[in-house]
Amino acid sequence: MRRQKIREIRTLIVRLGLVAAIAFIGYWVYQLFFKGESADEIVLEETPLKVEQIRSILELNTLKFQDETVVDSVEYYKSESDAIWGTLDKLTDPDQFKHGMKPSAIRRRLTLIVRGELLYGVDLKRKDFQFIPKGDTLTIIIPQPELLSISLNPKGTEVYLENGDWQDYERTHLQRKARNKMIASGNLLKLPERAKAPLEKALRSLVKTDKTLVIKFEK
Amino acid sequence: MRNSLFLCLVVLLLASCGDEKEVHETEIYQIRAIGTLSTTEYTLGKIIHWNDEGEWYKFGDRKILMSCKATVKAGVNLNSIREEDIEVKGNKITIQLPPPEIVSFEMDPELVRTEMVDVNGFRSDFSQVDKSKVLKKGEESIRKDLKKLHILDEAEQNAKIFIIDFYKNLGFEQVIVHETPKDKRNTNVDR
Repeated sequence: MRRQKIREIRTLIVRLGLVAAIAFIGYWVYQLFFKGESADEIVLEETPLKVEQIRSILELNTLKFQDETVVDSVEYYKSESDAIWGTLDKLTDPDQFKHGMKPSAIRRRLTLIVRGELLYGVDLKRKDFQFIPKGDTLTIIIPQPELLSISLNPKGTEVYLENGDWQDYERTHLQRKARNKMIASGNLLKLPERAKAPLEKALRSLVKTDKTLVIKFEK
Repeated sequence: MRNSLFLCLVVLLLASCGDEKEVHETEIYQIRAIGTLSTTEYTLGKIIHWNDEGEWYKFGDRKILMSCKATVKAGVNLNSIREEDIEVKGNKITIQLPPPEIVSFEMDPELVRTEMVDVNGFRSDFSQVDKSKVLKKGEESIRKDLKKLHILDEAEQNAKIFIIDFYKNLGFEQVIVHETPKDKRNTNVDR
């Protein structure tokens, strides 16, 4: 009875050991062969940063618009035979294998999620920024607010889906599309117009005068 | 039954009253009123070089050289000027200038180029996902190197010139601008 119990415990220990060994080997194989290259593994060679131009500017930014948009480009197979050959082609390519596993009518697809930042305000270097003191009134004439900068950076750009081979100019075309979409969103929200109120507020807090302050936007 | 039908009709009618041109809330990420004065713009160039030797079981290696440009604007945040930072005594004005900071960072996708690619052995070509990862690292490296440049000093000097001109135009004869000590600057380059 006792001997049988000891045998059972021994069998249990051996089995648990086997399970642990299989789990360890599985983890090791995954780490070695299947784990993708993450961005952290990229170590760039040291290259100098070149200052190409230094410019003195004078821009008063009064509105920041952060937007996020999805841009997509899809190409379909032209015929059924084209689809069969295309799928077979994908199955033989290790990078495209996963797209070939589930055949579809899509030949190529690139989807990007782009986050951008748009700054609206006025360029004070323009000649139409002027002070006109007259009697008890001080009039400041400033240009109409406009879009001053738009930042679409690699940090805010995510390649969400890449099916098939894509060239750089095609990716750039999609990023341009995202940029135009953001500018259109800004215009739809009338952001240049909405940039006026914070602009007036910023100027009023800066101007120290006993005169009545009038802020006018150049037409 | 009649009551619930009437309720449904009212709900449908109210729902249909919305402005068609209204922008969906989901499209808006964030709109924020700010008050930053950008005074200096740097255009920077960088060659991004990645030599991907891979692991021992990957036969062959691959290299990529990409060039990119970044435009960085720096200036001061006028919104952080408090009432007590400006002191007026007759024709003399004293102002405490806020610390300079990076206002915007832009890496134009149109100015990113793949200059050279070398793939050998059984390695696969660089995909757009790979290139995106390399560019992200490149951006990180440029942002890190920004600290070595004098962009904040120049931005502060240009802001000082603007403030002096601004108050002289307003009729002040003496304008004194105090800068923020360098150790109190915002060194965040993550704009």
